[in-house]
Amino acid sequence: MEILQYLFDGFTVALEPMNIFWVTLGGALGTIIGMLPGLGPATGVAVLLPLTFTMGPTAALITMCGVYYGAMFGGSRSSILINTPGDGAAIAATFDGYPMTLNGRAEAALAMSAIASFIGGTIATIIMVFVAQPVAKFALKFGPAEYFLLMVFALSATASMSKGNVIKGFISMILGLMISTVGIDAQSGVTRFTFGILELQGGIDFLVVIIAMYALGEVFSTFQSLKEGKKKMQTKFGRIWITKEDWKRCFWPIIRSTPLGFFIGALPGAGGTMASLMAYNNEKQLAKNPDDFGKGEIIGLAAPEAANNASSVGALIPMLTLGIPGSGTTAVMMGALLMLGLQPGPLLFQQHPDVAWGLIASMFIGNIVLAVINIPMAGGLVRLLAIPPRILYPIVLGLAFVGCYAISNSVIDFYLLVIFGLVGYFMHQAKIPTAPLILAVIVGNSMEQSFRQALTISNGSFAIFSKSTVSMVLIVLTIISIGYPFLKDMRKKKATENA
Amino acid sequence: MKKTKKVLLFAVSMLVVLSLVLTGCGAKPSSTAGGEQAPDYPKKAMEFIAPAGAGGGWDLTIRTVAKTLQDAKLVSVPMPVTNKPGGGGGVNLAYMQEKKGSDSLISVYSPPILLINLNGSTPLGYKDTTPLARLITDYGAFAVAKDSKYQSITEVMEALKADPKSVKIGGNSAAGSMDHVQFLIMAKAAGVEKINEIDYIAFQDGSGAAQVMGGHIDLLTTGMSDVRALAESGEMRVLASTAEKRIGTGVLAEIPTCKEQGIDETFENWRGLFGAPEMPDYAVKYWQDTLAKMVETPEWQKARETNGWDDAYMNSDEFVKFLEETNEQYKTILSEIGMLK
Amino acid sequence: MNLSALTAVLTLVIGIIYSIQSYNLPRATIGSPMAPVYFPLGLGVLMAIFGIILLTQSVKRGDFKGMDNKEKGLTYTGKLIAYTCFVSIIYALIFEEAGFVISTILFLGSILFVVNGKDQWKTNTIVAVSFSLGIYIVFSKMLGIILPPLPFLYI
Repeated sequence: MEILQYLFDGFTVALEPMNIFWVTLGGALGTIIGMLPGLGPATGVAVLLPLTFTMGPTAALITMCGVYYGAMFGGSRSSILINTPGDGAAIAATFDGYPMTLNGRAEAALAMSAIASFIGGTIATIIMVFVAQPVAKFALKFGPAEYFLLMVFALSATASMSKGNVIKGFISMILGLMISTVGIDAQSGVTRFTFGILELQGGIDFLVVIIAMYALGEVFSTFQSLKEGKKKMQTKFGRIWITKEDWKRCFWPIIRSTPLGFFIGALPGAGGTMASLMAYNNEKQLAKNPDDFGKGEIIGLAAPEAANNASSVGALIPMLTLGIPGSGTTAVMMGALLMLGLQPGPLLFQQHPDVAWGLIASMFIGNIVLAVINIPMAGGLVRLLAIPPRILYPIVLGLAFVGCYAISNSVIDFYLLVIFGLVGYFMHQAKIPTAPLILAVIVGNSMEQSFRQALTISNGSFAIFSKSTVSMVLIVLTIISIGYPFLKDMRKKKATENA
Repeated sequence: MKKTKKVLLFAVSMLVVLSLVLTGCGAKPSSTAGGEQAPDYPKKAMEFIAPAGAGGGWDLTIRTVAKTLQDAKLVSVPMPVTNKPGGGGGVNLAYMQEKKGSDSLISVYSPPILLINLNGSTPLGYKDTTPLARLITDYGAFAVAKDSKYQSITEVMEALKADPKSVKIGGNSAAGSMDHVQFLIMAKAAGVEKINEIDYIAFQDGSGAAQVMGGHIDLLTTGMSDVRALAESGEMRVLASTAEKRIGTGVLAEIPTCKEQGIDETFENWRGLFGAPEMPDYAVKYWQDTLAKMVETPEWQKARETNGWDDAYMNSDEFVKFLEETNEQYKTILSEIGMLK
Repeated sequence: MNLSALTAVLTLVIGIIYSIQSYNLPRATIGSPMAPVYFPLGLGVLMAIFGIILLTQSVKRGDFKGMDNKEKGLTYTGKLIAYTCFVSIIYALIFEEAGFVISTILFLGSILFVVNGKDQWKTNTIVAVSFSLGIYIVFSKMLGIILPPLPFLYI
C-alpha cells in the first residue's frame, strides 16, 4: 500500500506543531468569516491570503484549507440561528435548522450540523485518498449535455417536491430562471435584461438573492410578531441536546449524503449548494414522513450538512489532480499556489508529494479541530438568541447589507437586496416556496448555457442528450424524481380508499 | 402610531439632509487634493483595483505587483487590493471616472479593456484612463486532447477552410471576448474565409480544459498559463502558441508558435497598469519611475518566472501607442463577425 | 381581491411583459440569431400559461368577489416594511459618499428607533455605533475588505 505510506508521511508533516497551529488558526478565522452573511469560503481564503505569504508552501496550503473548512462549518451557523445563510451551500441548513431553533432546539441543531459536517468531511477525505484519480477521470465524462441533465434533475426534484401547490413551485422556479437570464449571454455576447446598468452585465449574484429572500424576507415577516409582542425565540438553553433517537435516525442519511456530496463537489462548476440541496431532496424522498421536512426535522439538517462538507473535499480534486479550479474558492487557492511557486496539476503529487499529502493529512486534522471548536461553541452561540428580536433583527439587516457590499463592492446590490427582499416577503405571504427560486438562480445560467453548448457541438441535433450512459442514468433519475411523489400520493389515496 | 410617525419623520429628514450635504461635498476632496503637491508623494494608502473577482489573472497580477513593491521596499505606503468585478471590467472603468484626477487609484487591465469598448458593453475605454505601463504578457495557446486527431494547428485550419462547422472551438470567456478573438485572428491570418461561421462554445469557471480533455470539444483556445500543468503532464497537447518566438523551458519550449507553422500573426495577452483619468503629473511620473525600477528587481523576475509571464515592459508613451494599434486590429476582427458596435 | 388572486394576476402580467421583452432582445451575430432568445421567451410563455391556470382557479373559487374587504390603507407591518425599504434606499444613496461608518450608524439608528422604540434611545445608539465601528474595523482594517472610508479623513 504505497498510498498509506504517503499518507503516513503526510501525517508527519501535518502533525508538526506549527502546522497544527496554522490549521487551527485558519479554521477559527474561517468559522468566523463563514458566519457573516455574504462572506463565504472564497472571500475567506482571498482575504486571508496575505497572511500566508510569509509561510512556506505547505503551511500556506494547510492554513488555506483550514480557512476553507472553517468557512464551510461556519456558514450554516447563521442559517440555523437567524435564517440567514452565510453562503450558498448553507441554504439547505435553513430549511430545517431554523425551524429547529424556533422549536427551541437551536443548540441541538448547531451541534448536529457540526457533527454531520465532521463526519461528511472525514469520510469524504478518506474516499479522496483512494479514489481521487479515478473520480477526476470520471468527472471528465461530464460534457455540456450531461451538465444540462444534471441541473434539470436537481431543479425538477426541488420544484416537484415543494410543499402544497405544485404550480406555485414551478412558478417560483421559473421566476428564478428569469433572474438568471440577466447579464451577458456567454454563447453569443448578447446583453440581456440589464436595462443599461453596467453592474448587471455579469448577472445577478445568487448570494444577493439568497441574503435578500432569507434575511430581509425573514425580518419583514417578523415585523408582525414584533408588534404583537410574541416571543418566538427560545429562552432556555442547554436543555434539549441531541437524543439517541436523533442519532439513530441521522446516521444513514449522513452516510448516504456524503458520497453524493463528494461527487457533486468533484464536478467542476457544480459545487456545494447543489450538493446540499440534492442531499436534502434525496432524504425527503426517502423519508417515511416527508411532511415533517421543513418543520424542524433533524435529518433535513444533518444530510445537507454532511453533503456540503463532503463536496468541499470533492472540489479539491479537479484542482489538485488536474489543475482545473472547479469553484470560486478553489480558483482562489490555485492562484495562491501559483504565487507560492507551486503548479497544481497532475504532477503535483509526483513533484511535491510532501505538500500534496501533507495537505490531505491536514484535512483530517482540520476536520477534527473544527469539530472541537464548533461543538462546544454551540452553547455560546445560542446565547445570541437572548438578544431581544427588536434589536437582533435590525442587526441582521445591517449584516445583510455589509455582506452584500462585500460580495462585489457595489451599491447597486443594495437596491437588488430591497427588491428581492420584498419579492421574498410577498412569496412568503402568498405561500409560494422560495427554495426552487434559489436553486434556479444558482443553476439557471449554466443550465441554459450547457444546453446551448451541447446543441452547438451536435450541430443542433437533440440526440446528444441521450448519447452517453451518464445521460441515460440522469434522465431516468429525473423521471423518477418527478414521478415518485405522484406515485406515493396515488398509493396513499388508494390505501385510504380501500380502508 | 403618532409616536412612530414623528420618529419616522425625524429620522428621514435627518437622513435626507445628511445625504445632500455629503453628496455635495463628497466630490470635492478628490479634486482639490489633485493640486500641486510636495514631492513626498505617496503619503496615504494607494487603492489597487482588480476589475474582476479573486483568483483570476487580473487579481493575480495586481496582487503580485503590490507584493513585489512591498518586498523590494520601493513603496512604503499600504497598497490594499480591492476586487471590483462586473461588466468584464466595465464596472471598474465607470468607477474610475468617479475618481477623475485622483493620484491614488491604480488598476490592472489587459486586452478586454479594448474589447468591451468595441463590442459595445461600455462606452468607456482606455482613453478614459491614464495608461501607466505595460508590464507583462502571457500568450494564447491552442490545445487539444492527448488522443486528438489533430497534430498541428495547420491541420485545424485546413479543416475549418473545408467546413467551418467541422471543428468545435471552446474557450473560457464569452463570445467576442479574448479567447474567441485570439483564435479568430489566427484563423483569419491562416486564410479561413468565413470566420463568422466558426462555432465557438463559451465555458464558465475555467471548465473548458476539462471539456477538451473529456473529448466534448475539439480545441481549446485559452491562455498559456491555463494549460501549462496539463501540457507538462501530457494530459493535453498544445498545438501552437500565439507568441512571436518560443518561450520558457522544458515542455513549454517544445510548443511551436503559429508563426513557425506558417500563420504570420501573433497575439499577446498583455497586462498593464492604468491610473484614474487625468491622474496628476507628479503621480504619473512617480509610478513610471517606480514601475521601471520594479521590473528590474530580482523579486519581480522570480514572480514572472513562477507565473510563466513574459517581460513586456513599456513606459507610458509607448503603451499608449501600442494600445492605439491593437485597438485597430481588434476592430477589424469584431466587425467581421458582426460584433462591433 | 385576495392574495391568491393577486398572485395569479401578477404571474400572468410578469409572463406577458417578460415574453415581450425577450422577443425584443437583440439577435446574435454569430451562430443562430435567435439562440439567446429562445430560453427567455420559453420562460415568459410558461409563466403566462401558469398565470392563466391560477387565474381560472381563482375565478372558480370566487376570489375576485368582495373586492374591497381589508384594503383600508397599509397595515402596521406594511408601513414598517415600506419605511425599512425607504431607509435602505437612502442608505444606498449616501453609502459611498458618507462612508460606511456614518451611513451605517444612521441606517441602523433609524431602524432601531422605530423597531425598538425611541424610549430605548441609549441602547439604540450604543448598538448602532458599536456595530458600525466594529464591522468597519473587522472588515477594513483586519480583513482588508475595504469599506467606504470616512469622508475627508480617509481612515
